[in-house]
Amino acid sequence: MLDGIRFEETGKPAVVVATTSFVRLAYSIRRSMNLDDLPVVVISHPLGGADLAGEKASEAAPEIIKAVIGM
Amino acid sequence: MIHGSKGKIVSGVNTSQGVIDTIEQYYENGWTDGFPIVPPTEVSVSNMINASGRDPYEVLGVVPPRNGVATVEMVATNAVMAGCKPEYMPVVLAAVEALLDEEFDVQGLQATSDPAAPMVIVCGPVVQEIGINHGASLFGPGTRANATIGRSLRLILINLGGGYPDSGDKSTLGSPAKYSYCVGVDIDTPWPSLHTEFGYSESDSCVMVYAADAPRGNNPGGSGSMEFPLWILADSMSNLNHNIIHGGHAVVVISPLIAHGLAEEGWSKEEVQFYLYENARVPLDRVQRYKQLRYGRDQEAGDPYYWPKWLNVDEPDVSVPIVRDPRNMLVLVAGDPARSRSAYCPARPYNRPVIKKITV
Repeated sequence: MLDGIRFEETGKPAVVVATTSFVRLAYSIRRSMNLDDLPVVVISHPLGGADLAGEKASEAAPEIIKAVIGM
Repeated sequence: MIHGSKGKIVSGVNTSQGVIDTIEQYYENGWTDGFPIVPPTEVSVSNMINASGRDPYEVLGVVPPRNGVATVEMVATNAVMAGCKPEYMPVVLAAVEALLDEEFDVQGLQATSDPAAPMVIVCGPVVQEIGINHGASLFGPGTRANATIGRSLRLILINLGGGYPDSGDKSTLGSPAKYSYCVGVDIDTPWPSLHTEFGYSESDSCVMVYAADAPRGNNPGGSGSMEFPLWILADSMSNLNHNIIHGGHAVVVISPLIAHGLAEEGWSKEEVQFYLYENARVPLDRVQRYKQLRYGRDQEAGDPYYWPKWLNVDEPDVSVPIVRDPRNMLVLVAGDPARSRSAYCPARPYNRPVIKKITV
């Protein structure tokens, strides 16, 4: 979350990827930093190791790209 | 009238029913640790601020992860809510300053899955001046100063930091220590007080904030040499936990009866620290298995961060100390002066203990 915020602060488009268990925390921090436009892409929790995380990354990729280009 | 906006001081608690209604409103707003709060009024908050001698709008820092701004006024408000007397305020402020010090890393503590809580260790004359319990059942309930100073930090972590269960507070199991964790130490001790190890004088009063699990008690009982209670204590520390991998510090509390007995046998505090460093260890093969299963590290390749670089892994029967330096064994003396007991407060070693002088 903090990495995403720091990217945003430098003017670079950022997307935060949060697992379902951390969504409330992500939204809370986003609100406190006045960054309501910072996109958060949600994937299921837990990450589940490198292989499963890779699959989840592939599934989430289109949504992440859409969020980056502001569609 | 109760205000939900930042920085407002509530009022309108002039009747018993008004007080109850206010407490209920605070529950609805989520401004509590689960216990009823003391409704803060303009007068009570002002008294708290005045006791500190500080500017109410002085900013001490922001409290992650929600990044609420901790001004002296907001600290005072939460201290009132926790039930503090005004004379506790300098201790609360010093504790908050330690908590928000970059060295401590409160961000990590707030959102960790660990069950660690900020342990507030108070030493010096202020302990007796304001009645902080350093004797029997000092970790337990029943003493206003301990209960409310510790609770002030928890309310600040909740109300300013957003440390709600499963949101800003991601501790898997939590801990009763997260309600309140404040003790006085080193009043009835044969050795120099904790704060003198950090360059302060005995006449100073200081607060150390240390990220710790709840205390694990030991009952050595018996009689004879005072080395025996130390041996039991070291045994209770010799297990696979954060300290064994990451080092950090380890707080132990030994009762005055043990401490004075040790001193009479000629033990200095440094010798107690070194004894615990030498005896609170885990055999290398157990640590290797733990590391391998927990982190998947290749033991043969070594690891400069997770492994003490001076450890000779080729030495037969070598054991790993739970801290990397004897001075990181923080030996505190407190508890019932008539009994021989001790406790180990395991660290969350990613957080460094921070000590601040209490000023008025």
